[in-house]
Amino acid sequence: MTKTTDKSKAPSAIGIATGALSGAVTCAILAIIAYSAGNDSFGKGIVQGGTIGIAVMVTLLIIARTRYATAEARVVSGRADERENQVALRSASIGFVVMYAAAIVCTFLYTFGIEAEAAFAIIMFSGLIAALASFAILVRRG
Amino acid sequence: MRNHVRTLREERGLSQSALGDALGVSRQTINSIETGKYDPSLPLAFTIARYFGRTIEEIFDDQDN
Repeated sequence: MTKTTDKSKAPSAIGIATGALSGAVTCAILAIIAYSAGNDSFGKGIVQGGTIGIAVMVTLLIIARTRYATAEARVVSGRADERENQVALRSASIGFVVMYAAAIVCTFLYTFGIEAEAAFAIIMFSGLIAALASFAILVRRG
Repeated sequence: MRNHVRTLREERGLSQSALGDALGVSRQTINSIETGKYDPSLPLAFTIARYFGRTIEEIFDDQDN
């Protein structure tokens, strides 16, 4: 049947602290991995900055759920109801279509000398940004 | 799809948030159902009907007039 959205539980200080700490550790690990890969190209910069940026954003959303209970936070934390899950699925579909289009564009750009890392980053982040933006719009439209 | 969820909810003096908690969905989802922007799944429609002690046909109307 329908999935329960349990918003009755008050956030505990330990829960918030644990979320913040685990998020900070995740971001630090990602930053270390990214730095070890070097920072000598435009493409690596996009991959590293984008990855860390998204990790920070997801961490903030998870922390925010305890106070604001947004649809984004419920989806990330697995507490979304059927409408939010449906919107998330549609948003993911939009993201994949955008990634496909970006892949076609980047294939052409690659023949004109664009870096492989930059092409990869453009494909990956265009899809992620499209999915996140479409979710934010669709979930508020109803 | 038109429905009478808002009327039934207001008759019971419930807020959208309270009804959402009772049905296991978010306040935003209740709002979307009431405004006709979102048609609930069959399981959720049954849950709503049982909650209000009505049949699905009494709450949801697939005809515009």
